[in-house]
Amino acid sequence: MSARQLIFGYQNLKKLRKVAHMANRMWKRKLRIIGFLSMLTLLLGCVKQSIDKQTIMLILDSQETHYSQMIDEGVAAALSEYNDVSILKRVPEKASDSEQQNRYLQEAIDLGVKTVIFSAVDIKKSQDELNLIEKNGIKLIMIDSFLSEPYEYNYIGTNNKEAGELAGTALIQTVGTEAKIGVLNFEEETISSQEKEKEQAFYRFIEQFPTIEIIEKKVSWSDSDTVQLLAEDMLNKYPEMEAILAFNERTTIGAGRAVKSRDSQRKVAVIGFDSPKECIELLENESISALIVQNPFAIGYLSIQKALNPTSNKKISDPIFTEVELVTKKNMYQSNKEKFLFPFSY
Amino acid sequence: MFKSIKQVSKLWSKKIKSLQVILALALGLLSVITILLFSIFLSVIFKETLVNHTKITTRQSVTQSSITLTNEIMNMNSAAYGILDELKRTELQDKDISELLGTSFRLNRNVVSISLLDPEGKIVHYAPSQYTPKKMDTVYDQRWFQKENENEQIIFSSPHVQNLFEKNYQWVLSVTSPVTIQSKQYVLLIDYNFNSLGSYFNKVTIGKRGYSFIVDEKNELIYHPQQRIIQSNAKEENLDFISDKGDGVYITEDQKNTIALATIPSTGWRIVGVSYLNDSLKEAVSEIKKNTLWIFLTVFSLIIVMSISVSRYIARPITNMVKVMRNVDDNRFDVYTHENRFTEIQQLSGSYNYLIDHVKELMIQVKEEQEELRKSEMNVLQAQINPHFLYNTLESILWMSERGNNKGASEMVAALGKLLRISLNKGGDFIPISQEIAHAQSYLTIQQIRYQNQFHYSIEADESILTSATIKIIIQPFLENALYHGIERMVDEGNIAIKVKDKNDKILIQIIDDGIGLSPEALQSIEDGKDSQKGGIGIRNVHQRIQMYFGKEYGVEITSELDVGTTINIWLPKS
Repeated sequence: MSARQLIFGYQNLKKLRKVAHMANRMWKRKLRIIGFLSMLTLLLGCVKQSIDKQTIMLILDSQETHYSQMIDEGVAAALSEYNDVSILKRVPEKASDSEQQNRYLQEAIDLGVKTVIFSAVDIKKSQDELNLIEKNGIKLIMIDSFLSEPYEYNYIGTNNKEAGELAGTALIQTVGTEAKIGVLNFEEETISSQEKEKEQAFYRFIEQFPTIEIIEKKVSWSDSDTVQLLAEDMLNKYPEMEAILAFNERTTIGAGRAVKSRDSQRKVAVIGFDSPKECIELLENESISALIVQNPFAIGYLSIQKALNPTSNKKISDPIFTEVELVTKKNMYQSNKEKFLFPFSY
Repeated sequence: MFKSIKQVSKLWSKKIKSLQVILALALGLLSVITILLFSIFLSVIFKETLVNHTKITTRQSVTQSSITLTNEIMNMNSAAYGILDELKRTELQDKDISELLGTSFRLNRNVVSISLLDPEGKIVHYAPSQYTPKKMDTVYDQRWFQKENENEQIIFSSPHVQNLFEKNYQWVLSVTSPVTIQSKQYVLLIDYNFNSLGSYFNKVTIGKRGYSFIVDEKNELIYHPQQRIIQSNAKEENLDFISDKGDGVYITEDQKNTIALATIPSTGWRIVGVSYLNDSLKEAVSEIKKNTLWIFLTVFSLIIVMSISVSRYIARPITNMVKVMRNVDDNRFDVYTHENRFTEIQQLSGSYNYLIDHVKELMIQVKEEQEELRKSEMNVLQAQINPHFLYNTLESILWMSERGNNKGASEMVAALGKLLRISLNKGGDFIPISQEIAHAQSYLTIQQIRYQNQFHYSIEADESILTSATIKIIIQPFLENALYHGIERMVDEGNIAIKVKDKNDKILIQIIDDGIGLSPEALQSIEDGKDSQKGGIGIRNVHQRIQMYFGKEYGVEITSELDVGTTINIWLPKS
């Protein structure tokens, strides 16, 4: 290689270096711009995320009862306080349809809702889906369901044991400790429903009064007319029957109607649950002796509040039990009972 | 790994020391702190204003509500008085009374029922007529009924469920007033729909979530927009706070709520307005956030860009100057700075330029002086004519003239004269080659006479270069060396040849002798001393003089071999 070539080569190298230097500078500038842009997008991303809406799925057990309407109204009242929540309400068309409820739970998982408020028809039948819900990190709030200790879920609702015992107390107050009674409850298929739990608590309570005899147990479809027929049958069959226990709204109305339609020579006490208008009327004309009134409005209201305003960081907080009141004709217009019995919308 | 981190940090610390980076950081920090302080100051003022604003709006809302409610109650009152006036007319029959109640019922929108109670508390007349009164002993026993009514005033009950008629469970507010009809004490009972009374209050919002409610003299709730929630015990209103307060605006102890109170004159009821301070704060903040995020972003990037560019703007002339000044490290004094962005820098660069000029001048001066010094030194050397030579020559002349060898003496005198004349050369440094050759010939002539033809010499010169200029006395020193060191010690006769050759763009003068020559060591020591102060004066003097005047490519070379002779090559430029 001659000297000339060498010099030429050196010059070339210099040129190359210069080009490389320039390229380096350009690259640096590009890097800076990219950095700035990425910072910007990060910031924007933060802003966008914060306006995400909360979605809650509300799964009830049946639609037509006064009780579930009250839950609905409680939910609506709570929602009016928050404006960035959307609610998906799911109610099986058929009453006490666990499979349909399970499909709704699956839907909640598929939609990726944040919270599920669930009134289980039969908690045992929904066990698998509930496990899935928990696994997917969806917050679960059980309302008005069968609840066994230790509490595995967030719970808001009636203390079924207390309510069952209150029914027992009402019975003793009305007919004394010696009586033959009949029991009306929900259809047989459900083993772990809230009605069953109340019934069980009632049985345990009256065990201490051996003179109280349960001479008939009937289960019914959830239709007041059917219940009425059943109750009338029962009363005809057992003329000595002094009281009928009914553990939900429809059986209470059915039993009340049956007593009302009969010749009121013979007094039969009906102890029932819940407070639709008809129940109040039946209570006022003494066809129903006592009503155990629950607080569905508060249940609905509190469940939404619980979903949106978690008060504790615990995954499962202590259950919230809403009040239960024993209402008779005598005390129905007392101011504390009045508030429970008559919804403000009447 | 650790090493690289250390390196990076080192690099950083070096970078941090740079003026531009410090300026940028300082500017950025300063503006950020300023903005921060300013926004804190603003937010404090803003919060105060907001609190005041919330107070004012709460009070306004409560005042508005109280006016509305007063009107509502006045309407109720006037309706009741209207009916009472009619009832007091003596000629009324039972049928007329029922009709009157029915008409009044139809005229007043929010009335649920109007009843007239006889002294025993039984309902004697009522409207609307389609209602069925419940069987009850006396209405006077009802919880909500206030019997004591001394002044025959119109009295408002607390809200309750109406239970006078069958299948009617509306929440009502009862207005009662005693009335004397045909000297019998009756009671007029008007039940107002409680919901419609409060419908105005449902619409009242103070801020985003604020509301107002009504309490009676005993601080019990009369109406609350969230009546149902409170009724179902899902929520409680803290009434302790207002129990001992008069009308006005208050802030709760936890600084969360603003509460305003206003009393309704005729009933003793009070309107309580509640607004959430935090809410309005949050709302305002989120509003500000929404709008100012972009402003903040823009300001921030502006600060970054500004501080970088400003610092660059300020630091640029200095960095430029530094770059220029670096040239001094490479002994380059010809690069000037022309920074004129700031007066100080301008002055600095002016001073620097002046300095650099001055330094350059000084350096040239020093160089010139040094050259001058050396030249004069050389001149002194070259002007020296060996006194021994002069003495010997003069003695030879004396000796020849004593011996009557006039021809030889005159020849020698002529040669000496020529030698001296050329040596002096009127003080000039340069002479033509021919003169130089003549000088050498004169010297050899003298020496030949002195050495009595102990050596022979020859001179050859190319015609073309005889007029070319050279510095004077460059051949004679080598001739002297050749005679004293080479030929004098020889037994046989020696030969000295001078050859002046035209070598294209150079001139080569060769002085060749066949004397005893030099050993390689001696040759080497001469060669080494050629450029320094050491070594033989003759060769060094000539070599350095040639290089000084003509450049490094010219000079003197010596080749020599023991017992063969020595050749001196003198290279000169052709002029």
